[in-house]
Amino acid sequence: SLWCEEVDEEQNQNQTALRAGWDPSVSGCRVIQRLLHVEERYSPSVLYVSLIQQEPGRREELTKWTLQVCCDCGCDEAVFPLAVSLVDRFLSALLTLPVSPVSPVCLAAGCILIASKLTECETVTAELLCAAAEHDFLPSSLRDMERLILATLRWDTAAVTPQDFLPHFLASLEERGGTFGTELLS
Amino acid sequence: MALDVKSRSKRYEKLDFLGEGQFATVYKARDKTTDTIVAIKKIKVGHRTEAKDGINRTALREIKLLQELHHPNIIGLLDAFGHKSNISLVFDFMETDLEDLKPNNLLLDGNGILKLADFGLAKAFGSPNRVYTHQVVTRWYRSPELLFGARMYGVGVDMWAVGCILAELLLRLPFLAGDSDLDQLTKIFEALGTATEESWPGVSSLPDYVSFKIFPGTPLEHIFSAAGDDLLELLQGLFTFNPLMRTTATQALKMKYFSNRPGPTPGPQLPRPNCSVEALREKEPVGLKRKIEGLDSSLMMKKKLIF
Repeated sequence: SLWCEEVDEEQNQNQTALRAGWDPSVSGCRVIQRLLHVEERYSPSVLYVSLIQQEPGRREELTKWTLQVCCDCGCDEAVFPLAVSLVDRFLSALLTLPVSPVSPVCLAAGCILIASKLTECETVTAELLCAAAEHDFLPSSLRDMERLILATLRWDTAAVTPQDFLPHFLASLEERGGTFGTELLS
Repeated sequence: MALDVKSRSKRYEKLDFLGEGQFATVYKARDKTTDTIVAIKKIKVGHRTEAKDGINRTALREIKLLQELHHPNIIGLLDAFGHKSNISLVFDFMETDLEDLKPNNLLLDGNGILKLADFGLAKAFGSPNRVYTHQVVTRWYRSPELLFGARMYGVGVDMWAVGCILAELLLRLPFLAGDSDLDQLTKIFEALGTATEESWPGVSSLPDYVSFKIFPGTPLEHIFSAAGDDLLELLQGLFTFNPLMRTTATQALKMKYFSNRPGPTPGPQLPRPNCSVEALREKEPVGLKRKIEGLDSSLMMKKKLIF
């Protein structure tokens, strides 16, 4: 095999995750414009938003649960907003598609599973998510749910979230305000 | 939607087995809806331990990136569907041997247009602050900073790989074929001379740095005796040890090699697989005379050299 399989386990464990450096060539107005453009593609339908607003409590509850699970599982900060975006887009798609109702918690867990796979090096396991939901559903149901979500969203999962904008905004603050941005970043 | 999966897989009629790579099996198929030929890449499920967490994440990322990328030189993802833990990706069919899911993943379509494929390990450029993994790039194409364990790397790693591919095209053999990370570095330094703090400031503080025997290196014109000065200049830039000083894609495109005559052969006139040398000779246009002087052109075609 050509793959580099010499994984240094000890080093991996001791090393905290290293993050990509700031690259000035991919920041600034052009990138923000592009993010805004892509973001549009991932907004849920107006109908869904108005339905949610009639009874905001249920979505809020689900979102809180999602956040709690993301925190408990030690997920990267990018996982939560992406998971919520997936939940919203899935529910938004269901409004127009006749699909039987699904367990909201299983849906949220499925979205965390996908978001974690897309953004993290060490991904959250199906087992861990089932435990977080107090075994409300089986790992096999979670896997079914994952496929249902992916098929519903036509495998288009890479939504733009507020987190994607933050570094760019902070960078421009730093440019203008000297140390102000740096303080915010830390 | 769940039933969607069944109808989607029925849409494609399997025609031929094209090949198998480490992570996927590729089939030639016919899209019954559009009556076109496609290539279906079926991602291997892998271990049962992997399958228990559902869809293979490498595939998920590859799909995500391919959906964002629309470029004439990037293979087009037409469809994706899943069944159980299996995922199948549907691509434009490429005429060159797709069977060989080779590390450089460069394919040519029927019009001689180059397509990049396999984004399983690709990273969205411009997503700062994301955690990096060091499990990137097939070893023979890995840059010295990756081999020394650098976790902060940039586009330089790709430019190094471009240099290796270019070298491979000239030699028709992998240029630096190490069988371990240490051996890879040895091969690099034997060929190009050992990296020092002088040629690459900061090298000795990289996580996996080990000091190497000082090799003087071989001048590139001796290794690539058929390459002209402009091409050597490009290679030299790509094989710069210090990633910050390494030639970038933008700089490379401005180099003489890309503007010097003769220009590249137009795509449709490139030699194609399963095409006899004689047939090619007949329609051999002026442009087919390659930039690289001294290569026997008939030998080159027999080897299906893809440029």
